[in-house]
Amino acid sequence: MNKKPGSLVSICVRVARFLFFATPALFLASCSGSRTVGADLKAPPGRTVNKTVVDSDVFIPNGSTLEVLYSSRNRYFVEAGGALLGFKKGVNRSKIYAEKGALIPNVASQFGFTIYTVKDASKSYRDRYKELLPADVQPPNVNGGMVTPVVGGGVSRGRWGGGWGLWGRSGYRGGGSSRPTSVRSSSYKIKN
Amino acid sequence: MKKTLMTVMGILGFTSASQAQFAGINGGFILGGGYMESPGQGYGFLQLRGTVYEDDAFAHNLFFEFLGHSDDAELEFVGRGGRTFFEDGDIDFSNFTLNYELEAKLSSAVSFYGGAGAGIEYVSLDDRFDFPIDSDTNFVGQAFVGFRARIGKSFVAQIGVRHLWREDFSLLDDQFLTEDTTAYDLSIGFRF
Repeated sequence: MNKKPGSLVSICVRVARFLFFATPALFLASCSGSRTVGADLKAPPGRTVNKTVVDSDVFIPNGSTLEVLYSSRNRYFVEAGGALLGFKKGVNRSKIYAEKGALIPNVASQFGFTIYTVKDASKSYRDRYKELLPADVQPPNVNGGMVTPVVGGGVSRGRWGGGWGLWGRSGYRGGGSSRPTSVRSSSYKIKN
Repeated sequence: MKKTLMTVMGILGFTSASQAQFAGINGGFILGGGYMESPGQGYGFLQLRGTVYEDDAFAHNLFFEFLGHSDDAELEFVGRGGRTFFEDGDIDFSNFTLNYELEAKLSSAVSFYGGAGAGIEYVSLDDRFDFPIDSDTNFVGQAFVGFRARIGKSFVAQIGVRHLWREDFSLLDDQFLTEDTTAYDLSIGFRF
């Protein structure tokens, strides 16, 4: 009977020690991959990039190849001659806007994609917010995109201005309202 | 207390000895999908079912149903300079209803069912990162009929039509019109 509390304490100490060492290791491991989170990414021309992409808009020009490990809530804009490959670890709610001649995943083998054919992927990428920037806001990049490989994480998902760490959304919204003023539904009409 | 227990045991013994089955010992779940005429969209549903009475000709069933569909939305933001810009979003509709169903057995394998139910419709508006923006809760009612076929001992398949009564909903400062609609669905289920 006397042994029980001792062994219980021993187990608790071992578990606590394990958690103490394992948690930082797991945290570092989770951040150590090549990841892009909440950003806009332009795949470098002529190069193959292999990464996890989350909450991002990605432009893949002619001659570039982007190999994605895991994709969640992204929009990919793929020019003819560009290639979007991989997705070995899965896809979740991602959209592909591809020109004819772009190399994109076989839809039949990938769930979680919506694929649209566009005439000009570059223009679709530029106009992805319908290009109505407030006049006093500097566009993120003259080329319409910004290479922002986030290696090692450190970018957590926050709300406007809180934690995106990149030019992201708060900057793009120009410090204006973080709450939309109105909404339009594609299937439901607004009452007069 | 003992007397109460004996009475309950007696009632249970009596009912189990009769031909009919009471006390909701039969249950099951049904998973399905369908198409609603207005707004012309697909939906999915899950029913958790219990049979409160069953004999060789009829069954009285109660079930809780979750029915959901989604719609694309366009969110309008106002920037610092008074300029507007837009972003994609989603409006999700989740109906939670409690329903009564009368099932008439046409043969050993096929039955006709009909019933009605009521509950709430939870409407939620998310931005493209699934961040919740606004929501509304309204009344929803439904009446339904259909045919059910037993497949083997435990499985069922059914085809049905339902009519949904829905209230208009409000998101941000916008009021949206909903129309009462007819919907058609197919489903499969498991009985235990």
